[in-house]
Amino acid sequence: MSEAVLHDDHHDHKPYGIGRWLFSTNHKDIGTMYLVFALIMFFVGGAMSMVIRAELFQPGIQYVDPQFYNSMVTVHALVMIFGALMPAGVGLANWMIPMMIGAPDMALPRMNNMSFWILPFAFTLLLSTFFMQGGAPAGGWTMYPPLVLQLGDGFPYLVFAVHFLGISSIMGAINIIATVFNMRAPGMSFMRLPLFVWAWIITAFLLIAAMPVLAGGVTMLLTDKYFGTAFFDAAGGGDPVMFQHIFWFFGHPEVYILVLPSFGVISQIIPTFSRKPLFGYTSMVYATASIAFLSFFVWAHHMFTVGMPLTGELFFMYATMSIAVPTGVKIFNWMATMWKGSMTFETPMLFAIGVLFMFSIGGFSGLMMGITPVDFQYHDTYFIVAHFHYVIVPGIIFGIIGGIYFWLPKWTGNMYDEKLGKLHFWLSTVSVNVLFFPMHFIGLAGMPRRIPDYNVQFADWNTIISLGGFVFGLSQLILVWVVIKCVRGGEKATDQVWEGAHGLEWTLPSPPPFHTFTTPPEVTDATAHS
Amino acid sequence: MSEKDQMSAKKELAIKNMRLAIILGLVAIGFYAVFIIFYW
Ligand code: HEM
Ligand SMILES: [Cu+2]
Repeated sequence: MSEAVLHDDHHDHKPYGIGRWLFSTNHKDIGTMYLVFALIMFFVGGAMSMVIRAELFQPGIQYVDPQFYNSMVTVHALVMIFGALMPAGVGLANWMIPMMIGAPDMALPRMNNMSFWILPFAFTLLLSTFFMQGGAPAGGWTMYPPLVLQLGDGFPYLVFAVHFLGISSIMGAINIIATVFNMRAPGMSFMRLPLFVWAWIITAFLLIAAMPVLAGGVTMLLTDKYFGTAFFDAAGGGDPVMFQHIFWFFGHPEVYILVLPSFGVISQIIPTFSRKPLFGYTSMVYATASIAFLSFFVWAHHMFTVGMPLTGELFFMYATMSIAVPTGVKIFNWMATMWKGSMTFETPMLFAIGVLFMFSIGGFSGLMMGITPVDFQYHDTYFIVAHFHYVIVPGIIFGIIGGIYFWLPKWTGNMYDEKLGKLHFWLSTVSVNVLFFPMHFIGLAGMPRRIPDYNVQFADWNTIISLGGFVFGLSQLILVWVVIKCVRGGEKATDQVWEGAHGLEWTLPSPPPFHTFTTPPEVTDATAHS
Repeated sequence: MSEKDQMSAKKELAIKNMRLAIILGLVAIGFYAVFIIFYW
């Protein structure tokens, strides 16, 4: 790509009004929309979890009927996974990848616009089911037949919402791959890419491989219900367990789709605040790719109890254990990066260290459940709820929030309020552990997941868990406050923002102009991240 | 580089991007279709 190719200076004006957002093809504006959308969905899904925790505050049925409770559990998960986590990751990618690789924009800006605007449409479909005959989906986010087929009028809306979400994320993934493959500035070789970019390329390939499988699975549900097929209907020669295989063949890669961008973010944050280059860059790239590859061979650890042949159980047990190896490589590399660094603990670094500690807690409970015979006890109890909330909340959401604090001064040109940031971190960290740690105990003691009522023996811990939940939920309002305050003003940020920050994105002004790198920069070893 | 070269280089990049997008899109659609046909 020659220098002049992208040189284009008749585009300096910003469009204004609602059209700026509706018809946007600008990666920064689209990134902002993704992030704002994710934040809104975070609070929508969060409100549902507050209903769940209010109902579980004491034994007995208090506030909602069991059917609605089940809808809360189901839609909470769908909203958080597809509405908050994935769009937040894509939002960060949109904002940062072009600036990190020295590209003027995403490779396919119009498709970028479409990927975003499909989301509000899909969630309108999904959330409208609350007002339909038969209510919102209530059979769990995993949509297992035959239970899910009992859903009323909302069923096709659920299926089409999932289709649209899949289309949106596949288009987003294609865009990211095309951008990184074709739009890198001269000198920005693959092994010079910042790790956040690497994490996203790998995630994008995972998306392209995994989302069509989910779409296929829900299509088969649809035809089973309305078009007389019997893919999952034993009476017609089908097999309901087959759906579980299909779902988890998507589902386990999906958990890495969620976590890898967060890993990418902390791989940017930790070197910055340790004032050292990332330890083991190359091994980091290979470890990330190995995690992604292995994630396609572990799916049946979600279904150890369905009655698989022993060889199957053993295979999936060992495969699951093996993922711990590349994950360990990453954890040790992050620790080695901090080793003897001149570390400071600004809010992004606090969140990144939080990820290190608390993702590991979730990783360990994952290993425990990966041991087949042991999982027979843990399966479908609160232990698994503890596991995936540890990996998702302090593992993924903390990473995303860390990224928001890290890049907010770059995006807005203003420093955020450090005191409020720290308050947000500490309140979140204490409350998230009060919220999720005791779930291990009640899970081991046998409390099943997805139920609105429980035996009195679990009452004390559930009250404590709910209190932790309410504090965690309220603490997130601090983030909104910090963001609004930072957008409106504050101490001016420098271009580099953080003393230890390196890379192309930090050479741009804060905030960066509407169009950046219209003339590609020349990347050398000195200006590259690694 | 002349105005004309600039335009053609720009076009070339656009074509490259579209080609990659179409290939990846077909891969995704292929997975989806083959998958359902496989279980038919
Ligand atoms: C990358 C971060 C991870 C995320 C986001 C994640 C997420 C999840 C989720 C959402 C579930 C519950 C699914 C459901 O039934 O609704 C789950 C279950 C499980 N996870 Fe993870 N997980 C992660 C990492 C791990 C790791 C590293 C391991 C093991 C090495 C692991 C092993 C398991 C097992 C065995 C189950 C099934 C438990 C059961 O159903 O009894 N996970 N995980
Ligand atoms: Cu899994």
